[in-house]
Amino acid sequence: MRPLINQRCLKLVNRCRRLLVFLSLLLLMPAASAQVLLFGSNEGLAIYGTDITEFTWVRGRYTNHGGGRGRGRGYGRRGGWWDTDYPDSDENFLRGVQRYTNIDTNPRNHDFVELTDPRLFEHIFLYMNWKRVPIGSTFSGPNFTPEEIEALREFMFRGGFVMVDDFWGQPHLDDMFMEMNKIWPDREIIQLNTSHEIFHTFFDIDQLAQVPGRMVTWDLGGYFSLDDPNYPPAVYAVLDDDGRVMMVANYNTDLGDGWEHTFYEPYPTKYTNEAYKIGINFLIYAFSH
Amino acid sequence: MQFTEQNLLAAFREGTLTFAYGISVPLFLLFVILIVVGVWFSYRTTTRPVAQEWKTFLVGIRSAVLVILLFCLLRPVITTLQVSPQETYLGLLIDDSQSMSIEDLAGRQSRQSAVEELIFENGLLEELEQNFQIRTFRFDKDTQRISGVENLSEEGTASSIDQALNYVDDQLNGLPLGGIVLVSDGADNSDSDPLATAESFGARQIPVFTVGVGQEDIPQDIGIVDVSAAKTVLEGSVFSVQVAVNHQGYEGEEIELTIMDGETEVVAETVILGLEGVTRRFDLELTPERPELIVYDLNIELRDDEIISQNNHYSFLVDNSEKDPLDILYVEGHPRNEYKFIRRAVEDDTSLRLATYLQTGPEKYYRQGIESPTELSSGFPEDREELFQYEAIILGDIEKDFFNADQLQMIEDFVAERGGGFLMSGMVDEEFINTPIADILPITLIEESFLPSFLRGGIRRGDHPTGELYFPRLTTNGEFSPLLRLSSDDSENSRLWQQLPELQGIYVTGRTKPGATVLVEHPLLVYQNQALPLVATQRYGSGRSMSVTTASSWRWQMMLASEDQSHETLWRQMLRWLSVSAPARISIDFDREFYNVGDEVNVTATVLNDQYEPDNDAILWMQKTDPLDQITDTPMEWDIEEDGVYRSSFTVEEEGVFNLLVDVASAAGDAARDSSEKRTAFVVTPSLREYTNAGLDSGLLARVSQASGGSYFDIDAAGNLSEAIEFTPNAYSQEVQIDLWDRPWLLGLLILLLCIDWITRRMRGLS
Repeated sequence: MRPLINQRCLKLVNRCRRLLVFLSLLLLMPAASAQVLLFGSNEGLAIYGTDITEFTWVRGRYTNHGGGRGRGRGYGRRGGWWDTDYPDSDENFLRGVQRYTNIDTNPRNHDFVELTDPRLFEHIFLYMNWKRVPIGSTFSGPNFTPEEIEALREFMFRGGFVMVDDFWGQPHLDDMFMEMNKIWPDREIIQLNTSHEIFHTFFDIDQLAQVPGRMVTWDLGGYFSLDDPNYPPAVYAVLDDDGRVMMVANYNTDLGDGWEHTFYEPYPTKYTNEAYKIGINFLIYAFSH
Repeated sequence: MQFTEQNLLAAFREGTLTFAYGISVPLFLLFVILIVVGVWFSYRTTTRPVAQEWKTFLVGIRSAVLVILLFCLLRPVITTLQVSPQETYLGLLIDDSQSMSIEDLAGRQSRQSAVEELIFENGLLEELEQNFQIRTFRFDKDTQRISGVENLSEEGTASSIDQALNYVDDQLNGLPLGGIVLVSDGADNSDSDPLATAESFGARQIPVFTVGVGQEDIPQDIGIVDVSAAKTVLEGSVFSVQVAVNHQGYEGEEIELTIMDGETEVVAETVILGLEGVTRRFDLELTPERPELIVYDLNIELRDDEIISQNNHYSFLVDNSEKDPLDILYVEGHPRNEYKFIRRAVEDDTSLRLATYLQTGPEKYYRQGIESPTELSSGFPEDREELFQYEAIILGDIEKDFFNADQLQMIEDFVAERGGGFLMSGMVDEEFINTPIADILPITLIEESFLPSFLRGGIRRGDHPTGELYFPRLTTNGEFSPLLRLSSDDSENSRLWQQLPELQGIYVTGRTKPGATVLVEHPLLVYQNQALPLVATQRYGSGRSMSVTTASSWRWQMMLASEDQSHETLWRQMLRWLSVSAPARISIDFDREFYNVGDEVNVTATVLNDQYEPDNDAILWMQKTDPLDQITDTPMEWDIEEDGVYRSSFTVEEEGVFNLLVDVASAAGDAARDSSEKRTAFVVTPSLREYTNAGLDSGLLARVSQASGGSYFDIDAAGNLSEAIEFTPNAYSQEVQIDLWDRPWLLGLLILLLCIDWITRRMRGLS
């Protein structure tokens, strides 16, 4: 049974959480604290001008079960969820990248590309959401064409880095393995532990966080089942011939939601922070390996 | 001494005729005329008439008898200079170098064979021994006394006539040396001029008689003149082998050059010969298969009618052994694609180590490629010792404020004094203007506000020309620069460059500095009538500097197929070039690239201390391992005239690879183990010198003989040599007078003439 909370108390709690977000950023970036933005501000992207920064965040759009690639709702997606959390998570994450790191980017510089689009190779980092809704459904999720698989392989062979996100529970894990095996039938998928370099390129991450995802550990009413032991977080990876990570898959954690809900007051700040930390570490790794 | 008749004729030629009773030759001739006139008068009337022609004949016969009698009565004498038999010495010098084995005489006879035939088989030596004490020597680059033909081997790898003459002079010093016979093809390949020595002999009246053997122009020959395997920055351990070939008689013909690694053919290339007599160089590419010292054999196919076969083969050494990587410090101002892909490009290159210091965020840094936990742990090196351990520095998009003034000066010292390489990649902070960094760069820096409007806007993509896509343009220097070669073949290289994807964005600088070389430039954008330089290099002090004013070379990796290695190749070559010339703490040099048996090897070791300044207080030992695995240790001596330089020399007696290990003990005792010794190697090979320009040099031999007062003989005319030596004045010649009146042939002639006179008169009925 859900507890009843009056609106005034809720506003107070939300204000406290905003404060916590701000304080946590101060703790993370003491030297740059003066520049840390309160992410809740309603800044317009126009302030970033029209320049194309050196780094542009790109999402991959792919062929779904159901035969399409479109956006929309439910079956209107024609089976696809590639744009989950888009564009808020992308913009918010870039905002964090801009604030925390020296990477030349800003929240305006995000894009999505077809996997077979040659423009894919103008980027080094590709984010994808492969999830199936509902979990275990055979009517949604990626259904890569051979051309898309070849493009993904080539992208990574040339030096590109791919991050896939938002898998929950054994059915999703099975799906994830199945799709990764389509791309890399000849390579092992390994689980990375936190001693791996990728968890220490910017932040030192000694324990993986279970970043809450809507409809799994967090329902639409704003209630969380945090650190649910039924969903232990993990990061799976595929390595290239020189031992470099070229593809990671976040399991039982949803960085996209963590970024997307940066300014959603009920969303726990701690997990937003963890989402930024892992994402930034992946990004720095991609820029240095 | 009793003259033979042949020698008497020579004495007539060389000496002077006088009469012992003081009458002069003109007066004698006057008497001859009077005798002829008197006889003619006596035949004016005869007891019986005689035809005029018979009368003339009889007058002639009778006059001749009387003239001979008068000649004998006046006691004619020939005065000449002549050696005293067996009292003077003669040096016989025989060329025993490899060129004497060339078979360019009639019937494919070798030069040495012709010499042996002349001296030992046809009796020249015996003739000379009648008058002289003979001392026989063989010579090539050295000279030894020999006892006979069995000591000739034709194996000398060089010829030095000057050295041979001086040796004989030394050996026979104090003895009455009456002359020297030099038998040679004249193909002197030493550095010393024999003419001065010959003039010295001439001044001492020791004539040098030269005998030339061989053909002046060898009609049919293809020869390797020189081989060099240059040190290279080319990708993939590709060594460029330069082969210099000369020929006579095969103009325009194809020949095959092959390189063998033992029994395995590793290179085969067909080339076309150019003008005869003109040395032409051919480049062959060689990729060693093993990480070690490899001796290769270069061969040119031998034609049936070729006269010299020995110069169709050559051995050379390629050092493909693993070496310590060149250390490069790369400081990067922010995570960017260029950084990622430069790192990836050299990651598999064992010749380079990239220690990177990446500024990931405000006051956040990420180190990669470090050798120890402490390397770069305090950021950019604060002292010269730490910085100078690297061979090159790369700065990428870093702000000037990252460095303090001392560090900026240290970077300049690193390039100018330590001889390191410096690369500025991507954008350059304007704050570097008027700092040592601006001095090092091959391009001038300029504030953006001073640029024309169309060149403003920066390197980012956007609505400004400097951010647009473009195909870079190689300059003429760039086309042939080893830094930017994608193929050794010019046309293939050009094709591969045209296939490279577009770059994006260029950082605008001022004009290129005088002395700098632009290798790549922007195809469209121009500043002050000069295309914007994209890649430029220059020497700075002892080191090198380079600027790459785009941040988009990564596109040559991401926009090309993953199998394509263009991006890796270019960056590896550029970084090797940048770092390879930085001197090591210990460097070893030889006076030559290849040696031949018997050569003196001069080894120079240059030692720097931890500040990379010359170290005069070190103690050096050199361990030499010869091809027979014999090890010798010798100290190296400091050259008082050159700071930090230590020398040693030795003579090599075996063909093959010699390994050297130079061990340095610093007086300060601060040398780390890995920087206290240095290994190197060199190869001793057969020489080609004796087969290069191996034609008979009769001009040189003639000049030597002329300068010394002797004579030159071609071997076909050497039969007169003995006689010429006998009558050529020398310091020990004596004046001798030869009486002619008692010559038997003179009495015989007289009797013959009287008989003819008597018979003629009887036949004509005269009384």
